[in-house]
Amino acid sequence: MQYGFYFDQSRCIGCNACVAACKQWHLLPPGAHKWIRVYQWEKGSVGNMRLHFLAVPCYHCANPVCAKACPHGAIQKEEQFGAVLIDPQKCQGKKRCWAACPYGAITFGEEKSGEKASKCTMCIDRLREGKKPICVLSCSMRALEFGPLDELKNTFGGLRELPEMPSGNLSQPSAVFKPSQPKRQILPWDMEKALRLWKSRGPHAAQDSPDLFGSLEDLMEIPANTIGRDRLVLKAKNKEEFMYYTTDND
Amino acid sequence: MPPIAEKVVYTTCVCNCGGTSACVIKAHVEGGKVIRVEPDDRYNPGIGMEDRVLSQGDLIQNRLQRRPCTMGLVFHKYLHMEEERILYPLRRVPGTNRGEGKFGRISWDEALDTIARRMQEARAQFGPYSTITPFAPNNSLERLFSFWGAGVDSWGWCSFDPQRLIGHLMAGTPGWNTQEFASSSAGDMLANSKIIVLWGFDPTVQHHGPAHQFAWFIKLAREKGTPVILLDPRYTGTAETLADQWIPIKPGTDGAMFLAMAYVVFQEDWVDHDFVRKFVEPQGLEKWKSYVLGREDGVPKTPEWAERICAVPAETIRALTRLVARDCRPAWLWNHYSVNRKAQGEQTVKAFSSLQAILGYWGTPGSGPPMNLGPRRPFEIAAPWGPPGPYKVPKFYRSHHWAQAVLLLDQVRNGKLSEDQYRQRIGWRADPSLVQAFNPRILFWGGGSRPHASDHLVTATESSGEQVKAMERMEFIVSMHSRITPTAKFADLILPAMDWMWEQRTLTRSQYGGFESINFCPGVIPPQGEVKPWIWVYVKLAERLGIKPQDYFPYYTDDAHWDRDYERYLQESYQRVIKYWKARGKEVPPWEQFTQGGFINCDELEEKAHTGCWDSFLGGKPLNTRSGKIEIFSDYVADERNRGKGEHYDHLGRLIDNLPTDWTDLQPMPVYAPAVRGMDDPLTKEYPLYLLTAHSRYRVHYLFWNHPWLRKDLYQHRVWINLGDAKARRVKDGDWVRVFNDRGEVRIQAYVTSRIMPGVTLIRQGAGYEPREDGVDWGPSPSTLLGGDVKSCTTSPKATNLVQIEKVEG
Repeated sequence: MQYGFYFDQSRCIGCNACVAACKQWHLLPPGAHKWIRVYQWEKGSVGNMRLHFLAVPCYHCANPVCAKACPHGAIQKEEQFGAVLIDPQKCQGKKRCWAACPYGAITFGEEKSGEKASKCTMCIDRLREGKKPICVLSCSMRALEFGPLDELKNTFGGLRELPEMPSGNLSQPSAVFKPSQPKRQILPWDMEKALRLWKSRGPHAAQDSPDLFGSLEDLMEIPANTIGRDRLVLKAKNKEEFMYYTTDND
Repeated sequence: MPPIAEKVVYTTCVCNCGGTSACVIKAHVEGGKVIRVEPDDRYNPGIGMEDRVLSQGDLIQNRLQRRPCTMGLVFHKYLHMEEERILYPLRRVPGTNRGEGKFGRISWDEALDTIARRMQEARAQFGPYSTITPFAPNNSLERLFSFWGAGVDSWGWCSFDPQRLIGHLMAGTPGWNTQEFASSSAGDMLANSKIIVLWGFDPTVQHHGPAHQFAWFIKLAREKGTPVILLDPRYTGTAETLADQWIPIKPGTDGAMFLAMAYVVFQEDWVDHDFVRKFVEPQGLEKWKSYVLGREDGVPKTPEWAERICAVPAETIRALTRLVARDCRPAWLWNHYSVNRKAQGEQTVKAFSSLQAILGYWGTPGSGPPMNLGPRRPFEIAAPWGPPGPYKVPKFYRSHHWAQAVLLLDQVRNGKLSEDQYRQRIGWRADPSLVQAFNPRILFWGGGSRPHASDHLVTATESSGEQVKAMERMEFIVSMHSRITPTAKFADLILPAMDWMWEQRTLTRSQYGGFESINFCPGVIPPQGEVKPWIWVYVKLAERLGIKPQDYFPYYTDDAHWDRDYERYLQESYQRVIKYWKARGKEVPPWEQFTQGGFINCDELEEKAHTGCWDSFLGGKPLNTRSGKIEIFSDYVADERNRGKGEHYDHLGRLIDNLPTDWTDLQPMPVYAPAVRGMDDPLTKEYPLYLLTAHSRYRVHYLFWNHPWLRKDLYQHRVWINLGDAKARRVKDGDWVRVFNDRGEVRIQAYVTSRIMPGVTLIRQGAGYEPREDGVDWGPSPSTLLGGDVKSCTTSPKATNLVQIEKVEG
């Protein structure tokens, strides 16, 4: 049977508990061996801000493109849970699996050639003991669930990807999603007026106090590379960039 | 395959985050080491999204897993980071400087003999006020002082001092009792609130209840349609995930908004007259109403008045007031501690609590807590130790100002500062005539109830530079801790404290966040090296100071039976818990069961969500104020004859813990006054950016700073800067910048974002302290940039600061 994950983006707060739980359970060292990663990226500017969170394990795809890409047959799909597993004995560290996976699920700790690939095992050690993956049980927002994929689809619907995620048409990830919750305007809030008020230091300020900003354009126009995490980058160019996109400033 | 654990035990995470003692960890132990952990599974085992299988009653009664947060899940890695751990008594290597961190091992006997000798010598030579303890008050040491007959302690904490003072003045609840008076659990919010409005609250970073469970409850409320509004200068995880609407507000100006809301309530008559008639003292209410409506100063505190201060448009303030007062009753309003940990914080919290009072929202179901987040039922879990000794330990300074208390003495001695000014500056709260006798020589720091909790002096309180200078003035510094920290490095002698969570058997109680439970730490691993429990240390010091050890700790018999004695103390403590619940007709697990993975879920033992207010005034019992009602106007503070008394007592003779001898600019009723170093201070000409120093999600003050699985792995320590402010300084994300003001300078990388409003910046508190020769802190801790606001009487001033940021070229 195929098991899979459910991720509720509307609940995620990007706290990285899933990542910490995974790393310690699987005795992974600090650094880029993140079998589940949490991405955080911002969109918009003052007044229409959104912050997106995405926790990405391996989706143990129905059609594991990583396995197909491996010339050594090191990646196999396991029968009982549908877990896609890497056999370190067979892996030669060519990283073709990494190139094939649209989600960046394969991790390498260092940038050494020949280094073996590693990734999320669906906590198969735990599954065989009747326990769920450690990430799912560690989420304090209860944003993750795990189970037979068909059951998850019945319970949570069939949404197979979130905005900005790559299409799962080819690999067919074993995951369903709920997107972030839309904002509601409860109170009238006139952005231009609010920003005009913000710009002024206020009634108690000294006459020659500097304004808080120059013009609205200063706050709205975003030159390239000024803001760092402004998009979802699942497949970073190198380790440094990978660590950047999978950390936050909280 | 990973090794199979030889034992798996439940323990409780105790690390002094906001959720302290709330999270439960299943530790896998092998060879005396914790090799892996799992989250709690004592409810709903094997369920990921627990709310799918829970009723509303289950949520209210908190029949939930106590899942640990990110830190709790990797705490055990830190436990075994031996390079930071203190395992033996250490003495600074002779000839090395304080702060260098070079220590050599000595025996416990030598360490304790040395400390006792130095204390006795200082007392003989410099008088009784020569051994002092800095931030924060240390009850254990204070008890030792009380039998010894000398020593000085401080008053005041960072956590919610404004609430502790205002709680006493408004509601007659002394000190920490304000916690008992907290109302409305998260379950109550979920079940009953029609709208949730939060000021400055970010439970997606901070920990309230187990991990981010408070955030989850707010999200659950939002999912069932309860509108959630956040006012914060930052677009936080709370703004994104929990809130329907985010409204930016200038930091430090929330009090103006509360007054404007009160104006609308009075003017449009949304006052809950029934509640007010029963529970609010009428004359004080009239005085405040008169101020709010502008009858006294000619300035009505209208939304139009407030919008120019806080930048929340008047229409927004009016609409919000009508929603919370009329359309969405009851409203869960919460102005978080951060909002009050600023200059004028007492006025802010009092304005908020007064607003809640006129809306009838003190402790009524679904209405949010007036002072403190999360109930704490009125029983103690520590068995009594008997009365303290005959010496009443004086509180010479507010704990944040211990360094200023030391440094400014010179100016008093040479006449540059009057004694009055000195007392004002440091928050003196003792007999005013003792200033001349104060002669601080020995600093005794740490070793209270949570020896690994934090490292307050140089990295978590204000002005690292002054902390260091004041320490340099000390002839002898003792530190008791479980870890080498930037502060411990300045000690002359370090005592190795037993790790409270992993090594010691402890009874513990979750306090904050509205999820109350009594938990146990079984002592997961054997104590490492020669670490000792803090009680043992004080008992042994007591002996050396000529005090009968049983006076200090009545459960002690002799060293050979320490474990047995301590166990008896724990059991007697637990009996008190059993007794409390038995009196209410509830059975709780016996000791044996409790200590083997059992626990008490207090919320489950009661039919309805707990609010302390029902136990007091809402149930018909008058408050312990003079009028028996909520007092918006404090007659005590209004009476100038009281100012200058060494200590202040209420009409029942109870000490007002947080009121210093001279309360400086504290007003008898909530008013708005611009903050020193606030958004509109003249100093903005030089330092135009307001510095926030919010907590990090991934460390508790200094604890975990060097955790390899947290910093750099999951987060980066950077300064948040608004896009516009960054562009004006040609700063791009990741650039190195200098952040500086007249107090210091730090070097740090920039996090450029639209998630913080222009003119506001953020460096998360705690962190390291690595000053280079030019004094620039490359650690860096924002403490380096912080300093005391001398005008505000009780508020931790560290949250009100201005800085400038410049790009570092090259």
